[in-house]
Amino acid sequence: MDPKLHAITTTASSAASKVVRRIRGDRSGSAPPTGTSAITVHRPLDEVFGALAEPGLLSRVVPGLTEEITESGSHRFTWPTGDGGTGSAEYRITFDHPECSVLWEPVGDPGPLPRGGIVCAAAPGAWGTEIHAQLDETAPADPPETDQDLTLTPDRLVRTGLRHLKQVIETGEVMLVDLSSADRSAGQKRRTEKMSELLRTGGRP
Amino acid sequence: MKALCWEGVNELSVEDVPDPELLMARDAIVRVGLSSVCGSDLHLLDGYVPTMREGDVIGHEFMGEVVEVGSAVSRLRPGDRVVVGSVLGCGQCRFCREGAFSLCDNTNPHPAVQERVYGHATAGIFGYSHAFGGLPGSHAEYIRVPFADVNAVPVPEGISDEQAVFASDAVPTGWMAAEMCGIEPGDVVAVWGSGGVGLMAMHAAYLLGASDVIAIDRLPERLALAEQKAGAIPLDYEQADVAEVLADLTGGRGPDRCIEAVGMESHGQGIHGAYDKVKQALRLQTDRSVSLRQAIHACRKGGTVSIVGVFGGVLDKFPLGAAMNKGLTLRMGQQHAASYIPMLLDRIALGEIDPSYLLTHPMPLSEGPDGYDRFKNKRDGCVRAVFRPGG
Repeated sequence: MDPKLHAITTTASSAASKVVRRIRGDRSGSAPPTGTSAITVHRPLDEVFGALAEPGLLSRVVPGLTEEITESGSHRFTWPTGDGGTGSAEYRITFDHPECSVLWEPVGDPGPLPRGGIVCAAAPGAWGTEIHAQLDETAPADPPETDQDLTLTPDRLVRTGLRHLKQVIETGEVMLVDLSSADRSAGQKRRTEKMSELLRTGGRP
Repeated sequence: MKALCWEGVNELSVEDVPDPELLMARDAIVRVGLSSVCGSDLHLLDGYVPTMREGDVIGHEFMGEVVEVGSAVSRLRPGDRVVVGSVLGCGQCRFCREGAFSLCDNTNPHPAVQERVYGHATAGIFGYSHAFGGLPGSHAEYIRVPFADVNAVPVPEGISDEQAVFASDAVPTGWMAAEMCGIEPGDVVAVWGSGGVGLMAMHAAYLLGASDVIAIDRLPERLALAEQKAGAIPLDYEQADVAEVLADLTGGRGPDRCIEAVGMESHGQGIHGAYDKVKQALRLQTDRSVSLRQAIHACRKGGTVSIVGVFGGVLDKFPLGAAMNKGLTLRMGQQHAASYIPMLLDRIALGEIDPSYLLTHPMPLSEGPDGYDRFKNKRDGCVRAVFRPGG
């Protein structure tokens, strides 16, 4: 492998490992569900890391997490908990410029609220920027609307968030699908009505 | 609005579905002018592409008129006559910026299935199952076109609707098939399949420098089109041993370049054909590969096999040994629509390619199920049934 490329990839994976260790840090003994994933954005490192500081963009990493900036400038998140309710908490977000990492964790008692982190690193070649992300804690009660194909695992949750983040940075918006395609067709509805009628009447006129 | 919906294996119906709406700033809404059936739709119809859902609108090869644009659309305006590529690119990811639009990172909103099955998700395709994005198809009165500045190309004056519609898929797919071959002057090119894509690949092969093109099919009317319209040498695989004839036609070398334009439901003969059909029916393999096996077997040493027929899963008895030991180059892929369409519209305008002869059966959308039946069963010499949803 090209020595320069090797150095870059080693640096990226080392930085990612550090973030993972820092996130896990004081949580030894009670391992929470953890999702990890990585994605490559076709934009330079400084542009990607700079974009993460924009209000609202960071919360795209975690679908269901809603970020608000209060008047005092602190970040508050709303997070759908496992029973379908919502939680709200103030978060401490640490931007580490030399390492190009972002950590977020709830202030005070973390309770069931998520903590997580991202590290960015220049990708080898002309690929742009690698983003490695990790999120601790449970998945939201409702899966994100745009990715219902498979069972939602913590990794899948983070993966979906990273894809959305990449789409926003690269194209300016998240790719959406027409809701009509997930709706039931007239033919399906007619069949259901026929079946309901059959069950109700037992086939009798 | 009215749309042609997939309601189950071999079951289509025209239904009332909601009109599309602008969902993204870079969307456009297009009133569909013409929308063609495609051989790859038959894989959906026959149930070989998973993740179809009842009520899905099918169709991916179309042209029409822009009726509404999102706030970030800059190159189109209502009233523009456009042809829309069947495979969607965002124009901004690395793959799109390099022209590989069918590998786009951002246009498949349902990537999870492909990431699990293929390792990575590819671009979204209109009306082509939820694994390819779940985007409603073009056999409808209206359609939403995401990233419209990238995917909808204005049609120049002088090009008819009947020519433009095939610049959506058949022409660029055929062109890419020939381009992937790396054709050099004097090359002999063999093309398996004389449907819309195969015929367009034959035209492209000649335009890229082939000295001879051989068309392999079993349908007399399609072989006649290949001979009369594309200037190819017809070869009926039910009447002759393909490998023997190809060897004879090339002095024993075999064709320099082979194009597979059939895909996962190729017909086989004898025990091998029966074996493939049984295995696919029992879901012991997802794809039948008779024509691909023939192509690899027939191709000359050091030649190229280009695959544009659609395969979806795994196949059996793939002759990797022959490909490896003969030093073949295998190239394949879904077409990179936005890379090719402007150039191909220019060629159509210049008269170098005229795909309008593919349109053998113009029909209203209300006859959609019958159109697919004619196309699938090759009734009445149907090469392409093309619907005009507006009537």
